[in-house]
Amino acid sequence: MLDHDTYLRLCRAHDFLAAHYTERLTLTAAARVACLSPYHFHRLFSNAFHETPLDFLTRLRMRDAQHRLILDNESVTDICYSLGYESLGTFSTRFQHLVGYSPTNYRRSVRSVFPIPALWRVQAIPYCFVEFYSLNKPQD
Amino acid sequence: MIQKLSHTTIYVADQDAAKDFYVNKLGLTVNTDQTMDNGFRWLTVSPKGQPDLEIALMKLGPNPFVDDEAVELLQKLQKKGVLSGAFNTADCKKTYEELKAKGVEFKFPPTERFYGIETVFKDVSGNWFSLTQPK
Repeated sequence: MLDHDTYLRLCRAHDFLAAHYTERLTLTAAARVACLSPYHFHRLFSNAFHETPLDFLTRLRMRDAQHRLILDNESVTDICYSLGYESLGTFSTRFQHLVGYSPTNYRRSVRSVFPIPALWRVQAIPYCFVEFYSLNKPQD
Repeated sequence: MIQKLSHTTIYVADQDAAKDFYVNKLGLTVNTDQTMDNGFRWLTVSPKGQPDLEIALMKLGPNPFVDDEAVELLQKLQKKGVLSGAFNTADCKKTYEELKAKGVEFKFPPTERFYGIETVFKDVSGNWFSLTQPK
């Protein structure tokens, strides 16, 4: 494990990235929050949190994108730009790589399994709980 | 082949209070927080260094697979400290001071053991946790 004080500084940077993930962020800006050089910050962050700063940001952005694709009717383009991406192609490629579907096909496939809008939120919950709580039955 | 643990459950009396405790005091991050129309709330948190491990903060109350009798039993077990877990830290003393300053209740201060330095704290629902700085 990392020493306590360095870990605390990395946690501050981790919280900073989590609070600003929809903005355009640089490694330098995040490293500054941790009071580390970008190189050391990248290496220490990856060791401490088992993912690079970019992987962490991408994971948060893609999770947000998944929720919005399921729950809202925003266009893929609007979601892309609001999450800090400048290129729709980059966003769609990264989404497909992480999720296994293109953004459009993901929305289409989830909504075809759960045809009722209120049930789309079950997508975030393991199916054993969905079964026990009868969340897959249409609500009255 | 089983490769890793993906979920574990901590029973809590109040999910809002639990979320505040685990996120703002212990420093874990929210993984999912979804409330369904029937009131069921799926709230999971993860240690920053274990983003793949989801700790479900499950409301302890009657539900389709836990009846009133089971709820009462679980609450008794919780009071006795049977419902528990364990966390690791790089510095038990410093973490103890920081958490104490945030109002976390401890059973005893950091104590030398053969396996490291250990203290024990309680969450807002009565679950006890060992906090160990391993050797």
